[in-house]
Amino acid sequence: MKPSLLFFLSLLATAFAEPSPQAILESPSSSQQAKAQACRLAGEQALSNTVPALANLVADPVLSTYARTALERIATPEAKLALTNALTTTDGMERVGVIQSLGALKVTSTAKALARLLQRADTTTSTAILRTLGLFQTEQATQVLLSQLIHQDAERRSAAAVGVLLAAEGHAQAALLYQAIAQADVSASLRHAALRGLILTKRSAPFLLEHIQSEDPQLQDVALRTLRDFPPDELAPILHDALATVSPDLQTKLVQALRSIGDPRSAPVVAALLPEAEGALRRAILQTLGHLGGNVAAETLVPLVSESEAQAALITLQTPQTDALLIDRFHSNQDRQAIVTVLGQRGSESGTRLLLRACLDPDQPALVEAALRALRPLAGLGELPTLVSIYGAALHAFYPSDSAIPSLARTTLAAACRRSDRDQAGETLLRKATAARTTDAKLAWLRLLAAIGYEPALAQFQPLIQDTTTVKEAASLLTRWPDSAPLTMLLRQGTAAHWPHASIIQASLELVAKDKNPMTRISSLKRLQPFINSPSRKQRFLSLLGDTPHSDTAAIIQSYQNANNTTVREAAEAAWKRLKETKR
Amino acid sequence: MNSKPSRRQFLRTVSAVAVPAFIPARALGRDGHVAPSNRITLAGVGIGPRGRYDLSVMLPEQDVHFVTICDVQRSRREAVKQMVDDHYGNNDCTMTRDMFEVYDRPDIDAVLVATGDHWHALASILAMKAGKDVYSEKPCGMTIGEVQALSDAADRYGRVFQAGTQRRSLANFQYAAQAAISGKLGRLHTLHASVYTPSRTYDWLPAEKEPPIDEVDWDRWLGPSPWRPYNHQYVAGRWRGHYDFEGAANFPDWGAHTVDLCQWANQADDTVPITYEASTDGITAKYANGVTLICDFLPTPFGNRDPHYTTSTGTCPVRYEGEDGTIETGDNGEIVVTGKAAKSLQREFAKPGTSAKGHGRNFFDCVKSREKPVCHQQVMRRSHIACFAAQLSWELDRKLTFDPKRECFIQDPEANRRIHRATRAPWSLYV
Repeated sequence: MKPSLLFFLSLLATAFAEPSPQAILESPSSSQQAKAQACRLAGEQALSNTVPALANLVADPVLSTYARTALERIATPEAKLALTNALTTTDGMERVGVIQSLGALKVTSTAKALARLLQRADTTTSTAILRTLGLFQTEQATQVLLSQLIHQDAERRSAAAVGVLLAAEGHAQAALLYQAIAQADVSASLRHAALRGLILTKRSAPFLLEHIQSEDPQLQDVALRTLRDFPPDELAPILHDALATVSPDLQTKLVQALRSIGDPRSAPVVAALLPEAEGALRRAILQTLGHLGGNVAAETLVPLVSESEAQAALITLQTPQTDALLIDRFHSNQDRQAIVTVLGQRGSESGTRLLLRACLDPDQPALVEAALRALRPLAGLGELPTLVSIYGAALHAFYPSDSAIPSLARTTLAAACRRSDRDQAGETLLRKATAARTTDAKLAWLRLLAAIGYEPALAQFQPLIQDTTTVKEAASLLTRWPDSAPLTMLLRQGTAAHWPHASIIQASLELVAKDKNPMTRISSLKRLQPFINSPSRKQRFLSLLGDTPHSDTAAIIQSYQNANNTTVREAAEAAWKRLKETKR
Repeated sequence: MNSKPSRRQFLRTVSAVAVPAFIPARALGRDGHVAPSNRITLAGVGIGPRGRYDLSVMLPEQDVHFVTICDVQRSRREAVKQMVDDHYGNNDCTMTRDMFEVYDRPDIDAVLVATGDHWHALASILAMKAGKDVYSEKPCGMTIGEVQALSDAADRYGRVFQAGTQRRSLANFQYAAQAAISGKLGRLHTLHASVYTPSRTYDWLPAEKEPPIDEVDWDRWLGPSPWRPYNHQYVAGRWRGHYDFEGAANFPDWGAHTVDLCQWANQADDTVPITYEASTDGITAKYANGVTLICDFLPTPFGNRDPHYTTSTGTCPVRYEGEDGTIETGDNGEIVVTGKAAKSLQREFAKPGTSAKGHGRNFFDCVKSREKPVCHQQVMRRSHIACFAAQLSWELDRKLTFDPKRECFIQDPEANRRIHRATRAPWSLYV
């Protein structure tokens, strides 16, 4: 290629290339937005050649923050110098921003200059200076801060206290700094932050305890908040001793604190308070024992299982012997219903076995109800035979007519089926349905089979939907099927000469809604169309069409758009819109 | 001395008071009422649609009394006042545009912060500095630097802080995490957190005339974010995806929840993954203990989530995989278990959903007991850092290595530059 052509091409490339961030920042014709983006890129890529341009923008009320972010990110000596120089070339909020950036970059060489500025600074500027001096964490800066703690202006003192708090973090003499704030004339919040720092710095459990037992409720509050951050090994024994001497209200708080600390040695100490405890203290003790765990906790809580707080604690208690203790208590005929509830929540294998046995106790219907409820979230394939027996007994009117057991048995059995292998559960239930002697009993079993969608059961439905005395209920049960599988059988019921029962049409429409395949869906809807006659049924039919994206759908909807009935016309319009959205 | 005790603290010190002849049962806390001295006085800052949802589950708490709303938009202030007044059957809820009016009130114990993301950290920090406990919506900050400052402020001022990652307080998510923690899945090896595919814009919307300050205080709405011209869409909620108002390209929208849940399952609340690597499908992170965290990008998070997750489990799904089985759950409450662990772990939950009620209750209980709530500042700090580090690996499109103790990227100045952003003066995170 000729050199002149190469030169021309490179000129072209240059002309069409994106301007560099530096070029954008230096160009007076660049928009604010362009400069903002250029600042961002300059910072992300640490483009040191942009520092002079960024320095100029630090004084710009719109772009200052963008420029400072870039300078902070570039963080070269030149960038820091640019910010330092900006102390004298900016004012107002732009200068405040510069001071903030000097703090972020810890440009400690500016401490003297900042201290000088402080003398004449307004509130906003002085607050920024004092904060930055705190971030510097140097001796020089800290001395300035301490001197401002006694300033006559309250805002200045407050800002100085914040600065000292920042300086104290990690400082070798932190305790002295916190002490200075705690004694200063500043807000309670700041003094309490200092007290908290002092407690943690001293790491003295007696010092902490002194404040927990303080007559001043605010100091007590600070100490209670802070103890959660104390080394637990030192703290638990101290709190154990304190428990015996403080008021019930404070006992409650200390017991809650022992829960946070989680030292298992606390369990017997806390349990010892129980006989005399009531109200909030009792609740705190029970919750804490549940959290601490261990044999003492289990042995203390199990006899109290009828109390709701103890139940909650027992449900989550990790101690292995808990289930055994609960089962023993159950067998000694104490608190049986409460134990059943707790075991259900705990979900252990031994507990589940006991629940199954409890379901079979004919003399204790309340217990059977509680056990069935407790089993509902747990039961699976292993529990299926027992639950089938109970449900079978319910169907044979073994329980009084007003008993909740039949419906509980059904719902628990349904839950167990859902968690079991469908074929195994289905086979068991189908045997029962086939052997059922009454129609009601058969329908009861088929209801469960429909809920799990066991296809071999469909054959059992066939005669029932052909029988006018059972068609309504059978069709309704089929709508519980998890997918549209029964539809084929239902659609066979109608012909031009023989209209299907209204229940079959209704059930078919509900099952079509479960069919996600547009091709089979439109085919089903076409089969149903001759039997869709009432306005409400047409409304439903059209709604289903609207969700069926297929090439045949539009024509069907259009055939309803001029219907005499307003409801039908509106349904057709809505279906049309829906179809267009679905296609999009 | 310049100290103002809160009302609750003041009442505690009154030990000898002449008892009036008649004290209403309500004042004594009888008949199901909670006595005023045992009630938590709550304020709201920046309450839009999400904040109103949070308020809807907090208002019914008998021991909580909401008294004032601060919002820079008049329409939102009025909507919240209406909601609160309707609940209490009075006209008592006050409104203000200025959060400092709220923070200076000694009677307020706690604040619900539900502003846009760019204000979460600073509004929370200022509240805690003023002596208030805070429940903050997530994500609690926009950068690693912001959540560090937030966590440090909570420690500095010793306040109770709860991040609004409420799924830690929901039964099905608790159950799934316990299954992982208890070892019932065997040795845990992989965690899956569902997230949006990250996206962001740096563009400014077209400038519009600023409305009167009482309608929308644009300067205060911007707060610590860099200045840009007003456009009504920002304040109407369409600030999402804009770099200056949303820190991590949509990633923490679900990620703040799902990554947090994975941290929990891995018992990693005191650490974060050490490597992060993005691909077109997601981000793979690895913990020092060998567990892998995979953040799966979902092209249709509200539609079909197969094959990454079982769609029926619902939104915000997570999955924990161990040598003996896996457990998956989401907002529908469904638990899907596979492997050897399946039979013993399969369970149903009667109350699915994403309700923040339990999470709010946990916060209020901790305001009273001074315990740390389930998503306290340290938990929030680590789970958010994990989110931001993951998103940065996507942004930089290369592997990143992170030091969990020093909380910075190892020998990676390019990544470390993105940990902090300057705040617009006079706003500062360091208070």
